[in-house]
Amino acid sequence: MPVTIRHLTHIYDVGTPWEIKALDRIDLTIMEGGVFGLVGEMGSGKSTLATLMAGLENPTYGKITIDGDSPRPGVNVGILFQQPEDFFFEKTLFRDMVSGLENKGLTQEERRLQIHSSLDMVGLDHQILDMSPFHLNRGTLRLAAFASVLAMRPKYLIMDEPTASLDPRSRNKVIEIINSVSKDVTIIYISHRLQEIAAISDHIAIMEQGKVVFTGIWQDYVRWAVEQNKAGDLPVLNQVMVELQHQGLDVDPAVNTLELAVEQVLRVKVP
Amino acid sequence: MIELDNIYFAYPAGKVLDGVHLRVDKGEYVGLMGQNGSGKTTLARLINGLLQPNKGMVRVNGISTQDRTRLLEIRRSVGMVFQNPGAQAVGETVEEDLVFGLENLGLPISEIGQRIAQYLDLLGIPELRNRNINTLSGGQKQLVNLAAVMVMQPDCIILDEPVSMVDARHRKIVLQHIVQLNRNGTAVVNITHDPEELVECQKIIVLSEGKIAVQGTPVEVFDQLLNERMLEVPTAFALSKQLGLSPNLTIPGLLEELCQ
Amino acid sequence: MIGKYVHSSSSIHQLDPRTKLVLMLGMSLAIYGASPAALLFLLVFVLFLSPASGMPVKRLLGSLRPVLLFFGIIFLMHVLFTPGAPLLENLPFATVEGVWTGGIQVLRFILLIMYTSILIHTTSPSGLNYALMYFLRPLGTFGMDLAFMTGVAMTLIPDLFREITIIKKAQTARGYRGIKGFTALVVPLLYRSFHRVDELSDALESRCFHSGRRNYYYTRMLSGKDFLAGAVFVIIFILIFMV
Repeated sequence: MPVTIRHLTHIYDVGTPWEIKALDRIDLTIMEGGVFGLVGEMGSGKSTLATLMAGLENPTYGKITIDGDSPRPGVNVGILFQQPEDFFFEKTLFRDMVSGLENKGLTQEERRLQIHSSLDMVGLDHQILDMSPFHLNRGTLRLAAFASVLAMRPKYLIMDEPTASLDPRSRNKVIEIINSVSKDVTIIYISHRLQEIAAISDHIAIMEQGKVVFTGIWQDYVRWAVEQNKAGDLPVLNQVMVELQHQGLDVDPAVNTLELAVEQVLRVKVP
Repeated sequence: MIELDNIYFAYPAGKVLDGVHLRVDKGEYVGLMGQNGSGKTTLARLINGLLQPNKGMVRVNGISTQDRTRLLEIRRSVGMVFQNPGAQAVGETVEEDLVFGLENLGLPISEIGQRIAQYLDLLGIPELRNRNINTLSGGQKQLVNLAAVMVMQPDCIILDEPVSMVDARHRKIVLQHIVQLNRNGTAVVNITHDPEELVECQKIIVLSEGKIAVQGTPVEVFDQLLNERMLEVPTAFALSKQLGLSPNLTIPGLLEELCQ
Repeated sequence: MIGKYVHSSSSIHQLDPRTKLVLMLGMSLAIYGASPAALLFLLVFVLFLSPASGMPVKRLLGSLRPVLLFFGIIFLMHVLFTPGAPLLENLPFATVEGVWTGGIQVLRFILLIMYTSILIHTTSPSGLNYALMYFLRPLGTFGMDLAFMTGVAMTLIPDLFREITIIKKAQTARGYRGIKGFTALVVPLLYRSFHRVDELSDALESRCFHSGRRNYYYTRMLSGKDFLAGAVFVIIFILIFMV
């Protein structure tokens, strides 16, 4: 069952001189399965939407339901914030990870098994559980944080900029892992990097200034961006393809890998 | 004007730079690439003396960064913009932020107001002069940070991942200003993951595990990176190579050749 | 929280920050030494000042909310421990005098907080910093550096509160509640704060900050309004202590 968002409006500091409307009558449905990409710049409201979807705050107006129920953090929905490696503080990694499983009525053994299997999902060694988080490097910690949320077995997992401050190699690794994890958990992937969104999402929504301005699949988004004169927002690769199409060549502007792009160009123009 | 001579630097956690030689000449545009942990951020902070090398020497205009009495002189010559747009603001308003650096330089008070206006105009943000910095977007904040350093008229500006935390629209604007800054004679060192930012550089240096792995013109460097599958290269460059065209670093160049 | 600065052009906003700082100190003295009748006068006065400074009285009263518990405790202590005539038959320790002195003490605190709220509402952080720097000038380099540090620290406060909100949400989502939630908040907060301060100090140093800066761009001049406010205050002060 999907996540449904109806007439969602959220205003911070209502009634004060610092009042600000972060979300403006959002209507959105996120179907179960795969990866849903949410794109927006800072100030678009995506982080507010993430917080509300995760059940960490109540919306000023409107309603969010997950599987017909209200969002309950750690139960039907989980969230991984930006720079999650900053939030570890216990003596061992295990104690940090087990805190989310405490109120689920599981035995000690069951908890351990769930944590082990979530580490497997992200490709980390079980040995790190006995280490202090302060002795692990940030890349490993980030994956551990990912495993931490997965261990709570939410149906939906919101990830806010999971590849922030990572170099290209680490970024690709994280995306690979997310792809494989998305078979068991529906991922809501929030980012301002369109290349990643294109590579990983089945459906996307674009947010601007508190409103959802587009929903659909990647191919439709590229078409829409061109119509709206926003081709400059697209990844470089797509900008090239759009320009070629503009020049009259029969290429698909929505390709999202270099190989596909090269294929397209060679098809219509032998240099 | 900047020389790094056989630099060795190690944090308690491990060594970060191992025998690095680097030069930045007057007016040069240098790009610095490398994975996280390769030592790029450390290198930036060595140049203006925020950090001191364990071995080797860093010289700016012939002055060693180890000479504490002359650190101010060095910093007058080398300015620095950091990665986090929100962590560099000193003043409450944009004007106060720019005033700070000029006060430190001892600029005559009568000249401060005019200098600020000049650089806010140059960066296209004169209307932000009296705005509270807290109310600005990340991209605007970084433009203000750039203005605050440029207003001090250093000979060289180092930018440590200047647009990695900036929204797409402002990213283009900031990068355009950086290129323009260099065209007007200021040396620039741009440290980044994103190869697209470095296509206009005269020289690119790639750091790997504390040493310089590759060095040369953009085309030379990207060629090697592509062949050895080390790091990312600009999309236009990769496409050019795959299509067997001459190496193009920018979209317009690539398109021109394709459409012939 | 005692409130935040709101930019406006009310008559109180237009006063020089140095004037307001001095008047605030004077007012604190007045509150401390005033008789109960004078305290009531000061109460009426601040309720008039509030709209004059653009702050609705409701918000002024709202600034008392975080400290209500504190007031309650103070009041209770006075009621129970002040010697005197018993208040009620079955409460031998509670005295009438206790209620009276407790009430007066609480009123003093209330006035202090309300006047401070108005000060903060009408004076920008950089204004306060300017005033601080002005008054610390006699302490030489040390004083100026101190004032500068205070100014920078003030710019970090809103970020601190923002961080707390973010960390609270993140840790709640990870299952930390109650007492354990406190450590879960403090450790990342300290880590992030130190990191932030580190970055800021790098930026300051890179922009040639050094101790003993003498060159200052901003100067302020006192105006007629400041002298008027000063005069009004002196009259009030005299009335309070002579009458």
